[in-house]
Amino acid sequence: MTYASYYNEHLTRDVGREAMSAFSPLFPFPAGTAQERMPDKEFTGYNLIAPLWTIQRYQTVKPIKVHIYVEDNIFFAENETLIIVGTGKSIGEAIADLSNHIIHFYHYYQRLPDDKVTGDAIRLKKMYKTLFVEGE
Amino acid sequence: MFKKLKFEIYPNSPLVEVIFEIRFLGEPVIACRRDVFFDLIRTDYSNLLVPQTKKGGFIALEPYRFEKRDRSAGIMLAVNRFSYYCRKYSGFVAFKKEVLKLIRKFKQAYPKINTLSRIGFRYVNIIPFTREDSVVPLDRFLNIRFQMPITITGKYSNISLGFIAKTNKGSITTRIETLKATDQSGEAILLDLDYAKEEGLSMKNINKYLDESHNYSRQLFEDLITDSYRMFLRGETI
Repeated sequence: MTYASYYNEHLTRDVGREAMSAFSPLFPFPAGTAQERMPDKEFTGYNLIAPLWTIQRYQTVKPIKVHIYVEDNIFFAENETLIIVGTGKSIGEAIADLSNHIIHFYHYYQRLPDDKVTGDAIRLKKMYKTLFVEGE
Repeated sequence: MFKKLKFEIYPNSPLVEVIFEIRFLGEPVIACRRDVFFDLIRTDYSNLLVPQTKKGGFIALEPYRFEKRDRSAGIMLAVNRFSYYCRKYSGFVAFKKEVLKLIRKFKQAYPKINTLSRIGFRYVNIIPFTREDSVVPLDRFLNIRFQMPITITGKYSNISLGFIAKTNKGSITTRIETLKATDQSGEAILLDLDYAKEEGLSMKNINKYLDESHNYSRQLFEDLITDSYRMFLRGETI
């Protein structure tokens, strides 16, 4: 097998770059290092870890680490620290769902008196208390 | 300029591939005796991938590839160049050690190649992002401002930008581009930095070129990313 056919069969399947891209392996910059190496072509989008800095109108004190993945055509946006998963038919929907959950629990833990929380809820209540930039 | 710099290794690094390449005047011995070099590296780089004929292309200039079994790294070898690429980058120290080891084997196989016409170091990053109000939140990640007429709002749906800038001793090619998987399952910003030198190069100084090109590329990366994105890279997240 040649690497050209290997590349076509295994690496570029289901992956496309923006139609308006100014660059391609056929028209690279004149003196690019190892022009054949186009790792961006291997970008599949599955299992991404992306940061979120705002949840609706709230600014977070630290970036929220979101794990984005797809299973059975359903998109998942998950944060392990807050133990929350958003779902949807697109990334946008999954993020919006995740955001709604975060805001819901933010208000929920704000209302909940300290003496009513036990176990992991103590950690979560502390976490939500300092989740957003003050004054937001 | 960068001699004493110490760069941290980020747990959430967006680096997907690092490449070091040397170029030289074409040497037919490479085309005739690829086996000599392959014998020296075949234990680690056992997968052989050969170039396919392309219409209008010159097959003699196309590189053979010798890849690790798990495809985590590989070597490209053609009559006028040698490149090493690494997909599982565990830091510059390990990368440099491997490059120098391979260059020693290259010199052992082809001792007459002493003068270089170009060295290049590429630092390819893929930065996953989610849109904010359907816009690419570029300024969350990168310290880049485009000076545009006021009719262009600065709310970009997609970006495809490239430029080559002169440096003290060479040039740096920067590509910034938004990427989208065709099945819409994710988006990312490509940040591809390519440092090159083309004058007064010698095989003897590869160690120095590696340090110089890495320091420049890494410093540029550090200058390009925002503090809030650096926080994410460091793992200072919720």
